[in-house]
Amino acid sequence: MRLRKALAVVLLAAALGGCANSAEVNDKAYVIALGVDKGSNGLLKVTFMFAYPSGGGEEAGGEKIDEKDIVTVEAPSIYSAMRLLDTFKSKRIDTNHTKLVAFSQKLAESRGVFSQLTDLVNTRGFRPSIYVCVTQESPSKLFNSMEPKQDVFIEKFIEHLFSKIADSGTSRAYLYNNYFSAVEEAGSYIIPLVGVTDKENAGGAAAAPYQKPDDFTLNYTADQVPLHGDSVAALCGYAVFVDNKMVGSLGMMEGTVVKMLEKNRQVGQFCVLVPGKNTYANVNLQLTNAPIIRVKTGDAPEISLDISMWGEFTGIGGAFKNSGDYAEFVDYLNGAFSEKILELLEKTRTEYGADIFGFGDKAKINFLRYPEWEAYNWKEKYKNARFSVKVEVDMNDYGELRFSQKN
Amino acid sequence: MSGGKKIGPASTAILFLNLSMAKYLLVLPYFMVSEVGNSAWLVILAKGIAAIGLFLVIAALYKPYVGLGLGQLTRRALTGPVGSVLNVIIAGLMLVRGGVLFRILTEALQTLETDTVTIEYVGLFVLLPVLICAMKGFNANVNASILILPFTVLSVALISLVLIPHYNIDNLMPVLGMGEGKIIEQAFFRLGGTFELIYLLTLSRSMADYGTFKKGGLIGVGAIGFFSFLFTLIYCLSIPYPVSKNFFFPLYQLTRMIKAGSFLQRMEPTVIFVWTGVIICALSTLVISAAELLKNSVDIRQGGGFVPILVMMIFFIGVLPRSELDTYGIYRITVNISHYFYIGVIFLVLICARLRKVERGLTYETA
Repeated sequence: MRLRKALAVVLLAAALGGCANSAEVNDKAYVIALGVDKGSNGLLKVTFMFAYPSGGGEEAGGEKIDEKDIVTVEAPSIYSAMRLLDTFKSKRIDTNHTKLVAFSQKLAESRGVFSQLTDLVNTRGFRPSIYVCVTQESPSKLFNSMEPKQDVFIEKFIEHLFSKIADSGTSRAYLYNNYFSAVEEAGSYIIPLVGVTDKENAGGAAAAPYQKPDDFTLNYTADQVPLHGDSVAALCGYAVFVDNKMVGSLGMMEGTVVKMLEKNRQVGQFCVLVPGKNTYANVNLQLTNAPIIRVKTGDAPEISLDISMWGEFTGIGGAFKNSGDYAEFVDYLNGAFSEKILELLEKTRTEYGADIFGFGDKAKINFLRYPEWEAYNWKEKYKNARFSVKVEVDMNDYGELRFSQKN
Repeated sequence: MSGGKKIGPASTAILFLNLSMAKYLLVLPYFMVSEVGNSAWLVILAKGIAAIGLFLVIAALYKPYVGLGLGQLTRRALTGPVGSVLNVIIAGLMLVRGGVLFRILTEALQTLETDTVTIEYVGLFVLLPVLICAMKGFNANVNASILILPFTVLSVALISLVLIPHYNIDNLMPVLGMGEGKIIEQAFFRLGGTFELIYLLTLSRSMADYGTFKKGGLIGVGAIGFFSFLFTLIYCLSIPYPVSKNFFFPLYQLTRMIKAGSFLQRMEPTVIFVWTGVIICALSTLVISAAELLKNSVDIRQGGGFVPILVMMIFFIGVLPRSELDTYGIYRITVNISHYFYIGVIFLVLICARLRKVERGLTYETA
C-alpha cells in the first residue's frame, strides 16, 4: 500500500511540473560559433554563427547544407552582445551547443583575451569544453571561409577539425584549460591558431610559394601554410600569450612538440629529410610514456626533459641501403628531436620570457607552502632557466621498411 | 513529530549524513580552498579525525542523557528561562543554516537555465515537500533519505571516475598550501561538525539507547568525513589553485568539466536534481530539530505547530536580497561565532547537568 502511495506521489509530481518554462527546439536560435574581434571606440565586435534551422540533413538524403547565418554586433562585452541580438533575433539565443569561440589576432595582441575567457567560463550557457582558437583574420571571415566538404553540418566540421588537436583532456584547445592557464600560469599560455587563406588565390600565384624546406622537417609558421584546395580555414599553429596578450606564434612542427610535452599520445607523422640524401623518410612517432620533467629550482632553474618515443617508418624512399644507414638515421632522429625541442624551449624563454609549457607546475614540487612559491617568483626566475633535453626514439621493425626496395 | 517509533543506528547515521552532506560536499571545499589553498583535502582529513575524537568525548559525557535530548537537557541543566533562551538561539542558528541551504539550492537550480522562474515558484516546489516531510516526523524523513542517499553517493562516485583524465597530481603542490599554521588553525581551532553534534544531541530523544547514539553518530561522522575528504581531494586534483577558489559550487564546476558530447555530460542536471533531494531532506531535518528545541522552550507537548512558521522563516532568510546583508553574509557571521558557541553550549550544558545531577530517562513531559 505504501509503495502504491509513494508511486502515486511520484506520478503526481511529474504532472505538477507544468510547462511554464518549456523550451522547444524550434523556439531557439543555436549559436554554433562565436567570434570576438576588436571593435571601434573600445567596443568588441562579436560575431555569431547560428545553426541553420531548415534544409535537409543526413536523414534527408545526406545533402550538405551550405547556408550560414552569421551576425556581427558591436557591444562592450560578449554578454551584452547577446542581449543586443535579442532585440532583432526573433528566437531566444542559446549557446549550449556552441562549439567554438574564435578571438581575432588583432584583439589578442592589443587587449588580450583574459576578460573574455573569464566571461565565458562564468556564463552558464557556455560549455567549459568548447574549443577556443585565435584567428589571423576577423572571426566573420573565418566563419564565412569554413566550407566543409566531407561534413554535412558546419558544427561537425568544427568538431572534427579541432578534435584532432584536442583529443586529450589536457589539450590547450578547451576553454577551461585555457582559463586555468590564464589564471594559474601568470597569463602565459598557448591557444590554437587558425589561418584563413584567400579562396580566390588558394593554390594560385598569390598563394604562399611552396618551397621545399631543407630543414629537419616541414615547419611552416602560422602565416605560411601552402594551401591548395577549397577548404580555406585551417589550423596552423599556436598563438603564444604572455601576460594574457598574444606576443607571437608557433609553427606546425613546434605545435607537434607542444603536443608531446602535453603527454599527448597521438601519433605524430613526420616527414624527415634524411641527412646527406636528397630524400625524405616518413616516420610515425608516438610517446611511449608521459615525458619525465624535472625542475631544480634556484636562481637559474634547471629543467630536464626525458622523452621516449617509439615509431615506425611508413616510407623511406631511397634513403637506406644497409643497416649502417638505418642505425645512423635513428641516431640522427634522436639528436635532431632533442635539438628541435631545445630550440623551441630556448625560443619561448628568450623571445617571450614566459613559461608557456607550464614547467612551473613541476617547480612547485620543490616548495612546501604556497607563499614560499609565490615569493620565489617563478615568472622572473624562468627567464634564466637552463634546459637539458634527452630524446630516445625506439624504431620498430614492423612492415620491413628498414631498407629501400629499389636502388 | 518526534514521538512514535524510536530510530536505530542506521537511521541515525542516514539522518546525520543527510543533514551534513549538503554543506560538506556542496560548499565546504570552496570555503576550505579559499582559506588554506590546495591543501584543503589535508585539512578536511584532519578535521574528520578531530571530529571523531570530539564526538567520542561528548558521547561519553552525554551517555546518561540520551533519552532526554538536548532541548530538555538544556532547560533542566540551566534552569528554565536560561535554557529556553539558549534553545531559541540554537533553533535560530538552525534556521540560518536552513536559509543558506535553501539559497544554495535556488542558485544551483538557476544554473539549469531557469532564469524565468521566480523564486516563489522554486520556493513552493522545494518547501512544500520540506513542510510535508517535517510534519510527518523523523521516520518519514529517514525513509526519504534512504531513497536519496544511494543516488547522492552514486553521483559523487561517477564524477570521481569520469574526471580521472583531469586529475593532475601537480595541482596538489605545494603540499602544505597556505602553510601548516593555517592547516592547524582550520583543522583543530575551528572544529568541524559542531553544528552536527548539536543536531545529533537534539535528535537523541528519538533514539532507542546510548548504543544507537554512539554507533549512529560514529558511522555518520566517519562517513561524512570520508566523503568530504574524497570530494575535496577530487576538486583539488582537477582544478588548480588559485582557480579553484573562484568557483562557489565545486560540484557544479566539476560536472561541467565532463567533456561536451559525452553521454555523461547529461549528468549535470541529474546531479543537481539529486542534490535538490538531499537539500530537501536536510531542510526538513533542520525544521524538525528546530521545532523540537522550540517545543522544549515553551512548555508545549506538540511542536508540529512550529513547522509551517519555521519553513516560512527559512524561505525569508534564503531570499534576502543581495544589496543588503544577504543570506551568505548572515551565515558567515554565524559561522564565525558558532564554532565556539556550539561547543561551548554542549560542554556548558553537560557540565551543569552533571553538577545538578540531572537524572536520565525522566522526560520533560513527566517531570
